[in-house]
Amino acid sequence: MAKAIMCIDDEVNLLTLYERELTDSGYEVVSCSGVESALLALAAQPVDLVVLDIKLAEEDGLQLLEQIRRQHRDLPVLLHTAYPAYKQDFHSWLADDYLVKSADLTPLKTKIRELLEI
Amino acid sequence: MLQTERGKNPSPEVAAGEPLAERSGRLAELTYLIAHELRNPCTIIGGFASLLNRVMDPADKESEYARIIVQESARMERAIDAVLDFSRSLVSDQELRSMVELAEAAVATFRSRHPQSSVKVTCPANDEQLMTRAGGDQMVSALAEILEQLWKRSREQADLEIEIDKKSNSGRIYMKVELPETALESPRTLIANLLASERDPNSLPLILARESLRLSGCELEWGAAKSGETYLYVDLPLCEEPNG
Repeated sequence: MAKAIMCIDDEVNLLTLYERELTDSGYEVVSCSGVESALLALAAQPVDLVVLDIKLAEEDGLQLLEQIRRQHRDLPVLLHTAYPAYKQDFHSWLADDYLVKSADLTPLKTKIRELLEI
Repeated sequence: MLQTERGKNPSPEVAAGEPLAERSGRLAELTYLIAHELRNPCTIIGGFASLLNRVMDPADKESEYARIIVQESARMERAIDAVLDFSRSLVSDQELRSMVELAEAAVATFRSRHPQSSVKVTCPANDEQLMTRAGGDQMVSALAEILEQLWKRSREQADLEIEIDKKSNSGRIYMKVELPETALESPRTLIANLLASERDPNSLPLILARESLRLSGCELEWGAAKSGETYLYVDLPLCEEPNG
């Protein structure tokens, strides 16, 4: 059975790209563009991993990360962001890994594979 | 839409009277936001071009166009990285760092981009701990960028080396390049061209790397040994490690 990945990003075109690339890689993809829809989707459907952007329009991805940690303790979360400086923000340490966005999705796929194998 | 954390622009009077540190902070914040605004579209354009390139018939001319978009978006991503690093160097604290550690981190960063490259760090002969004050991450990025430029300009043929040495009141980071005999130019020409490239519009990452070094109070220089060996170097003031 295909592993399910939830991608949370406020950039709809990026979600489309992730959906296509990760589906091609054999994953089932659940896309969400905001905090509320992500929490609702997580409650309704278990996933194996979350790929989370930090800046979600007016919402804060790091707060969502804390909520996910409280409600789904063992669910791996990969922070995927355009802001490299957040690596130093201790809130981001709650995540299992951290990756800066790039047009080359190979590092993202590699990290996903690694996290799902652990 | 681009907006600073503070929301509104300050009046000219306020801006004029603003301390330099605050103005630098504001500039860094804006630079960071601009770079961020560019990164997402760049990721999307490059990502879809990459996808198209993969699914198209390689014999199609259009597949070549998709490949060009991938290449150009990768170039833009590197420029964005350089701008982000630079914006952080405008506000970063100068911290006490071992020069060897800085060099090793720069080599690790460079190696992660070019695993096939040949690059090594040579430490001081007497194993002395040379400590300096620097915006650590920015210094690492700047040194890694200089290695990158040397590597690219050698057509990915050079053996690179970072050597740390002590001068009278400073520590020196040498960046050396060794080229194969078949290389079209000498290390001297390669280094001269690199230093003269500031007017080249493709050299934004290098320009920003040099600016980051200047913000840490040092300058990228070149020198030549009696043997004729040409090298780049950066001198950093040495600091004592606090006791305890």
